[in-house]
Amino acid sequence: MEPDDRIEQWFLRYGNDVYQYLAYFTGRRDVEDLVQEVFTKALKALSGYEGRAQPRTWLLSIARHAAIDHSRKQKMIDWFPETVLGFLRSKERSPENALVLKEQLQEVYHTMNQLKRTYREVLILRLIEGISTEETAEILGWSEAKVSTTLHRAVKALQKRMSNSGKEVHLHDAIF
Amino acid sequence: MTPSFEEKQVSSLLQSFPTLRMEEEKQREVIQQLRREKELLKKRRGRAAYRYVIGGVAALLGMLWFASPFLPSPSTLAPAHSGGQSTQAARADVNGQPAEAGKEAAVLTIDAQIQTSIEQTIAKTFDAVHPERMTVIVSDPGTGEILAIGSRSKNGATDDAERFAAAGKAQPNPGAAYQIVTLAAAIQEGKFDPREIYESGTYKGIPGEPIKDFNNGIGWGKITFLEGFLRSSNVAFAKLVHERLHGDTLLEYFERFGFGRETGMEAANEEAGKLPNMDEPRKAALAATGLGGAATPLQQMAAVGAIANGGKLMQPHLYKQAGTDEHNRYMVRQVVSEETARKVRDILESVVAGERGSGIGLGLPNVTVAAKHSVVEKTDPKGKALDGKYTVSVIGFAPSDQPKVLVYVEIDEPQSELPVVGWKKVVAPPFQEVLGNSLQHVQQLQKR
Repeated sequence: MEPDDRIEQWFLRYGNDVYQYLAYFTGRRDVEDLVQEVFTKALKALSGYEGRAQPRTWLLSIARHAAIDHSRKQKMIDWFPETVLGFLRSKERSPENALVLKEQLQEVYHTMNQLKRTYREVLILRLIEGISTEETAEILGWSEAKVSTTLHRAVKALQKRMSNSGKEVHLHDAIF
Repeated sequence: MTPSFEEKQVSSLLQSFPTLRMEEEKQREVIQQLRREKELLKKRRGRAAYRYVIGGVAALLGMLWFASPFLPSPSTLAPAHSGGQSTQAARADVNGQPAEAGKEAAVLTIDAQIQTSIEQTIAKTFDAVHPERMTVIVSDPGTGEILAIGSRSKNGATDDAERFAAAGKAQPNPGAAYQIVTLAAAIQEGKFDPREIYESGTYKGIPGEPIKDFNNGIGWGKITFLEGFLRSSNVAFAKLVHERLHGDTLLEYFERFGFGRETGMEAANEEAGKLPNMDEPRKAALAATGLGGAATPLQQMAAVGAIANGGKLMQPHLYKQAGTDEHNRYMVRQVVSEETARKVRDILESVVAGERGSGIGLGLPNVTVAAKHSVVEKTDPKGKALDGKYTVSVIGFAPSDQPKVLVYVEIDEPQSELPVVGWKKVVAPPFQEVLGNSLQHVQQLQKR
């Protein structure tokens, strides 16, 4: 196999993992451009990759950087007065492309987005995406111990916020 | 650092977030764009390489011109020089590249330590309840690798032939595995509303003898379908199939999950079993409760393994070969969606951990276990019930959210003081022992 074909293979295999990660990270459904960006970056950097990590781990760590860059840009755009960049905003952030979940999950998601970034990141990777502690540690560049303790604190913080805002958690209602 | 109940619920909620997928059209767009990028990259690299060649040649010419006055005549030095270089190059080749010994030999997937531990468990259980026969299988649900396999019968030593024969021998009325597949089918088809209420106890909605819950048709009054499944209510299964799912759809799912066909494991004399007859509504309803047809332990392992493995059915196998893509080689098909598999796992976890679960007592400390047990009356070859002779079995995996080991334990005609309804207590200790030991061993291996 030609080395560059690997990217296409990986896209078929892990494309949705990357997509899902970016969607939950940014809160948008229309993150195809970001997915494209991630795999293009991977294509260009492939010669430097050579089996350092599992492909999925590697792709997700690229995705993470892309998502962080994206949110920085988004903050810039948000900061400008609406009149100046109104057209940009409406194009970029049309509400119909926002990520919408079932009611109860939406509340959890909304509350989670108010937590600090490290908490959000570990919750998205470990719980929503279901990635192992080991892989998460590699993606975030943390130790495994840090992933575990941060996850624990994040869950605690989220639970506290949920109960403070009087939103009781009905697991049953949410899953079905 | 044990999480509180509420915290566990928050975690479960996050875990239940839906899987998101790109639209297919967008996927194609990305692939096309990737191909364009690749071509561009190739061209650019080509040009870059060309640049190096030109540069290199120019530099060489320059050096030659500069050094020409000092160079000895080619005839005197060249042979010796080139000779030296070639031996050096050859040595570098030997050292620089790891020896590739061609294809690696196939090795058994059986794990010596887990195998030893299940043999001990079997011996212990034999001493305790003197069954006719006992079979234990442990596998890795993610790959389909069989990690340990053991069987012993009352009048016979454990030898390899018998061990594999038991795993591949079809037995009537598979019980739990059929129930789990029925649940998965109903969820996948959108026919399972866990909150819907029904009247448990006795179901007369089908012509023929009414279908009764195992407590003599008393049931538990009006309960939800979720509770019905947790309590292993026959009426819940019968209603689900008769009124919602229908026999033909259920039969399709049984086939998808691999029943009625050999799994293809490398064991001799594997039987294909028999799909349950679902021509009549009553038979379809009984099949959903686990009665009818015939299945081998291997088929049951594969089917429940698919639930543990995000809906991917894997072929059980005994040999692995380093360097081959095990996943693609042994993946049979996606039988239900990942989301459906996750919901079934959650419910199976509640069977063991929930207040109303029928599987209480099958769990382990500090690990989430998903499991279902069944007690089935034995039948003669014609299908007539053999009075008072039962087989009890458990199938389950752990940890339920990220399954690492799948365990099947079957005890045929145990001698016990307990009433048959309480036979879970007979099968729980060996199941817990095998599951706990295997999981601990596998997790240690992964840490290393």
